[in-house]
Amino acid sequence: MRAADRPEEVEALDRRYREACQKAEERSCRAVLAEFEEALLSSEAVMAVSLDLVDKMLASGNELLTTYYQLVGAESRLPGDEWDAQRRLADEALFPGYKEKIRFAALSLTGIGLPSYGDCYLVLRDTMIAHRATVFAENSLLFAEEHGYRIPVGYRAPWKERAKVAVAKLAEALEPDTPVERFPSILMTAGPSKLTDRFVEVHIWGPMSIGSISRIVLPRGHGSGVIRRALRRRFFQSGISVELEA
Amino acid sequence: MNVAISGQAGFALLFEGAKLYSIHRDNPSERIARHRGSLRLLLNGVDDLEVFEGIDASQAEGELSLASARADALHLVLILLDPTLPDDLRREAAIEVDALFADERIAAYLEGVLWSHPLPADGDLSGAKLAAEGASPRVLGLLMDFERDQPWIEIVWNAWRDIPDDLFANRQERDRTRALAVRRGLFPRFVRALRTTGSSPEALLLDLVGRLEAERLPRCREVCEDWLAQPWAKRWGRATRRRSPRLASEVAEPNEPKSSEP
Repeated sequence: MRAADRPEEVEALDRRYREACQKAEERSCRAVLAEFEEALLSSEAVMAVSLDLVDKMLASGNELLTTYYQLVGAESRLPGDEWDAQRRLADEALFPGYKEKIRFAALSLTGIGLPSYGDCYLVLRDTMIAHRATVFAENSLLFAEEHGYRIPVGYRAPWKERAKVAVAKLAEALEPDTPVERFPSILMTAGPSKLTDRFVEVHIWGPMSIGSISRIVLPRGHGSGVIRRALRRRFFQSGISVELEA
Repeated sequence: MNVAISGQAGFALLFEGAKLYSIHRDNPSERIARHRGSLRLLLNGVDDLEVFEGIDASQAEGELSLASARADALHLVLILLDPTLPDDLRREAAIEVDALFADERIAAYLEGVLWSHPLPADGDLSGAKLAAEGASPRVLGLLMDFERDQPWIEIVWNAWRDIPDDLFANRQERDRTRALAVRRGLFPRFVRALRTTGSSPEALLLDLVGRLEAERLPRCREVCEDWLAQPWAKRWGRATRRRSPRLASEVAEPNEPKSSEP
């Protein structure tokens, strides 16, 4: 949060934002850009996770679940030094000293996340993350790598300024006649080859609990029926609405 | 190739030189090309990775299938033990666990996890037994054994928690060693040995160390020696070999926080 609030970050983002607005105006896109920015103000952070991981991620407060899940989980290292070294470099550049506490999500206008990362979409509760979330214009790991692990200013912002980050990045994708229905896919694109996913990344500091979720979108007919029903029951008991993916 | 598998997330990451692919439990034969940048989102909240070096694609598929089934089995047992869930759901969970139990590797994994910690206060063993009655004699048997062994499980767990931090390089190594001990079934072996008359501490020590040997844990033998010492002496009145008393310079500062195990 503090990194995104630094005056040089704020100024640089403002500059990129104003330039994007200026160019959009020159292309007669002022009205559509205003609509896009309006939509972005209600965008949500969505985490795509597997069905089996949902219970574990949201287990805090349930001693039975936390105990046994913690017992089996203590390993997130990758094989070979090279892959972990790249991750470490990017993490140090972006989250010095607190990378273990960061969870990643993508900005969405529909509650649907990137499908290739998991089949359940957890839509995070705005009020529970606003004080501990930042947005980053790009996939931060790739971005850090491209910039030699020295992150230029102007690409991240606190949660409340997420629209600015998205406008600075995506205004050029708008045309004067772009319909509002296309906004979600401009903000987030699941690439056909999975190599070309494009999205605005959300970084959330601190643990997730069931209270962090506003609703969940579940895939239809996937995984064990009992596990799905137990999950739905737990969400229902916690007052979280469950949607089935269309 | 090298492979990292998460049973809970249901995918395997395949590392082939500079290329990265993932396969997923629903369709493991379909390889998805991934960019390095996808790692962050794929590994979001994942901490149960198992690494395999030098295996081929079909072995990776087999390991993914096993890891996913083990994760499901654990999930289902936790449903079975959860008093907040309705009885019919818990009974169905018992039936599904029973089907997975036919695979000895899954049965051993479940035993390894359950026997490594006393049942938490919000776990409902009586309700779980009721749900398993008639649904699965095998699962009922497991739960009854689990209930019988609770006092031993508690002793073994407390002894694990009491292993000094200075036998591990850091908190991560301590947690990793524990996770490996759980996955390799060390806790139920220790419980059985304590319960069984005539067990030999030397044989148990060799067994435990042997099961962790491949993991290149720096002080594996000392950890196991320390773990065994107190419960064994209490149970049988015989001392096992315990490492030498720590030098003053090795002792942690009094104010250093002790790691909080689950």
